[in-house]
Amino acid sequence: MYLIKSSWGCTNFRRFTKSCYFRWASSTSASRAANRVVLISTSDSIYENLALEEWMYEKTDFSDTDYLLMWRNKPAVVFGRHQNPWLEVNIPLASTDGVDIARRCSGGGTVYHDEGNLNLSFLKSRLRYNRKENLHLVVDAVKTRWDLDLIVNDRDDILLDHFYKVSGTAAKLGRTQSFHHFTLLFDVDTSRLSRLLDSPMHGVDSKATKSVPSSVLNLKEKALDMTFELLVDVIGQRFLQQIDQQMTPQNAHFINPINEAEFPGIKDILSRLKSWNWIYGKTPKFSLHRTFSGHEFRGHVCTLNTEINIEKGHVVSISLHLNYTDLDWLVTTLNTFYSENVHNLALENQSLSQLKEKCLTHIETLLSLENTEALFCC
Amino acid sequence: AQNQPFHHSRPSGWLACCCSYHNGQNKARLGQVALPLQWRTFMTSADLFDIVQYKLSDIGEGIREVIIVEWYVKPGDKVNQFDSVCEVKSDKASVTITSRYDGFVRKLYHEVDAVALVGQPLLDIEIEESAESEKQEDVREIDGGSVSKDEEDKKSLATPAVRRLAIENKISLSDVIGTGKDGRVLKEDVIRYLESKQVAQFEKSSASKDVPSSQSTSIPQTPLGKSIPTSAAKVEFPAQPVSSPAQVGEDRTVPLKGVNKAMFKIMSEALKIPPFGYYDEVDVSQLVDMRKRLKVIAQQRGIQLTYMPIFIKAVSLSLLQYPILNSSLDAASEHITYKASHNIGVAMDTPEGLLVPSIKNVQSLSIFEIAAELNRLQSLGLAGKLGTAELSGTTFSLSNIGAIGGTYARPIIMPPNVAIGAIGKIQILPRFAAQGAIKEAHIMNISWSADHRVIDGATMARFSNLWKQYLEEPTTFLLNLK
Repeated sequence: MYLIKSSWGCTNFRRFTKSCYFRWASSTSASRAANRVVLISTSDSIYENLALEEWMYEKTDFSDTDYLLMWRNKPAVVFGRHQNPWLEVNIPLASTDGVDIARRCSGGGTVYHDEGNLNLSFLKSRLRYNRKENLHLVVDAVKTRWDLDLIVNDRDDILLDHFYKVSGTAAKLGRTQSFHHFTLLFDVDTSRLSRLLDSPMHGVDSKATKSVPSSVLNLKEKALDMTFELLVDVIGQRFLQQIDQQMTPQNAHFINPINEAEFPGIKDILSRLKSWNWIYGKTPKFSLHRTFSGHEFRGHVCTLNTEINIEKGHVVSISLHLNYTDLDWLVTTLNTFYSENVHNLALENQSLSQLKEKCLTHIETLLSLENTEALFCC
Repeated sequence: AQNQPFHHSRPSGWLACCCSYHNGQNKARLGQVALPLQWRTFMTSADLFDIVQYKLSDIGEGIREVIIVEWYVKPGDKVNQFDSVCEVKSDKASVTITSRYDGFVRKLYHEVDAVALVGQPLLDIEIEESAESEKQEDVREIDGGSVSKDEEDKKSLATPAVRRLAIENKISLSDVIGTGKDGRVLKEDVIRYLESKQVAQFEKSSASKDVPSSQSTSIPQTPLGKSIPTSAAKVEFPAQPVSSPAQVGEDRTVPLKGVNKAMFKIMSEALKIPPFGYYDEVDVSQLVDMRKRLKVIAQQRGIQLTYMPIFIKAVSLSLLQYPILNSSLDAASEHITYKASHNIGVAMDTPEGLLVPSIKNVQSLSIFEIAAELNRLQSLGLAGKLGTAELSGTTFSLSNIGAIGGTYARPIIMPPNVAIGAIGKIQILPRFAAQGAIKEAHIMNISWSADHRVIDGATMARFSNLWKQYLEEPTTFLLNLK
């Protein structure tokens, strides 16, 4: 039996490798949609592009068409549906630098976008949702054109040289609809990326998704002639070739997201994505615990503990604790003040500044001390 | 079954009657698919609502737990089927969970930010049932339960509603094969029995009609595996079906019942399997010769020898070398069980629809014994008498679609099996022999589908090669005689 097996095996193997690979590869296409369309957005606004993606996810019929939507934005930081922007982004720096901050409706972590980043979104029926398939399609397409060491790891990141992260993945799933999108860093400003994704907030206790930081590198460092246009072309072609189609104006074209006629209701999605309530208000509840020690007051080294609870992006309570009993009366007064005045304060500059002013006025009327400000740091 | 999607909870104090629910053990995990229409409660109170625990179903990607991000409903809200009830998150994905039912939300099991496990209850929904019929049946139930004429009926387990259905249709429950837990007779079983009885009557009445012979043409009505057209030169259209043509001009809506319903459920389950196909052609010229000679001998023993028993035995011999193809996948617990018996299922086109009875322990049977068993199953299939014993326990399936026509197919894997083969028709085609001469060869195509979660292409290819080798060189069978 063994003898026959090996001799037959040898002669048959050669004949079968060619035929079985070909048939095997083509047989999996039975599970693909009949049609595929490549869309390239003409907008460079993160909000407009996210709105388009969400509109398609809600309204488009994916039963026999898969879509690949590609775009790039002017500088923006985008975090996941269940993330805490204060924890993930350096918000003050973003606002001074004029960098947009946006919350996606998909899960996953925080990424920095600029014109050197390609965004890819595979919108398909839930039945055809398959992240690995999408990632491998892009990796294969890029590797046919450029000689790069790219792999997909088990966290669904694309790694360059088995080390540098060049892509982050996120997905959104519904009953019949799904999309899987990811970034592709080919020429971003990496130093800006590190500064913006380094949040100064600490002492946070929350259940929000935490981003996993990784070293990044631009693909262009290893593929010098890479451009947005070439990437879109190579990836789009590959997407269509998988169902034996060439790029034509019917199956690959530009698209203007903000076209209410073509996408009725998109303006509402857009305004929601830009609203404070969505970007900051959807943050899972968290609390801040900070400790300030080393201040000396009348010969006693004090330690001040603060606890701030934030729900839906609003401060709901502040409380203090000081380890100096002589000042207990002050601490009590402040805690009372907070419980009376802090009910639902948006965690942003204006409301907090107002609170600080009110607090200082309140203390001044009580104490008439000259260096009141020096005592408290709101 | 550990992964039943929901469990019927009844408030205490109601009349405790047995309640039939579809158990997934017997029919390839059918129990995993929700069947709200089957739920019944028998109660004395006027309240006619069912509270169902809606469990978090598998969202795929091997995810076992998620975190609740947001609730879109609260207790007391009216919810319709397909309305969003909550948003959950896994590592990378944000998933919207939608309701499977129409009803009212009664209880939420988790708070926001809590961990929810797949397979555990997410929320309670109170489902409305059709009030009128329930009320009437309640009254009759109490009467009918105590008056039970037939002693035998008491022995077969069935709910009062099922018994009433049997009585109305004048059938004895002991004649009906129960597919529920502990052999319980379910409403579906009664309906299936009734349909098969009707079909049997119809068959008798139509036997006198002109039924084309199975020699030269392929007939849609006969079970697969009876004959394979060996001539490719003559192209003949299949004979017209024997049954009368359907009414023209009127739509007809019928609920999925019996075998069709079972097939619908199995196929919906099968959709979860990531299949891959592997196709090849087999030169069965030597086999055709061999069968001509053996057929005569078999007929003397009163057995119809077709190619199918030979294919089945070859599959079993090949499975000995690649046992992973004879395994059973428990996707929920991520275990595969290498099955010791080769229970090869043979797809049959019966008057009831597609059924796949299996031949048990093929590894210990000779080709004769397989042929005899196949004949027996075919006659049972024709008579509509294939029971659970025949229909369950399949570990690997074969479909002879070639008997009807066709060369390639993409057969659907029946869970929890991991592979299936579809045999195309044998055609006579020219092939090259030694020194470039052209010879006539009998070519048959085989299409395998396998579950890519468990089987890789190389294994499938090697298994197929081995099977092919047995068929191309039938004398190799001799070397495996034990």
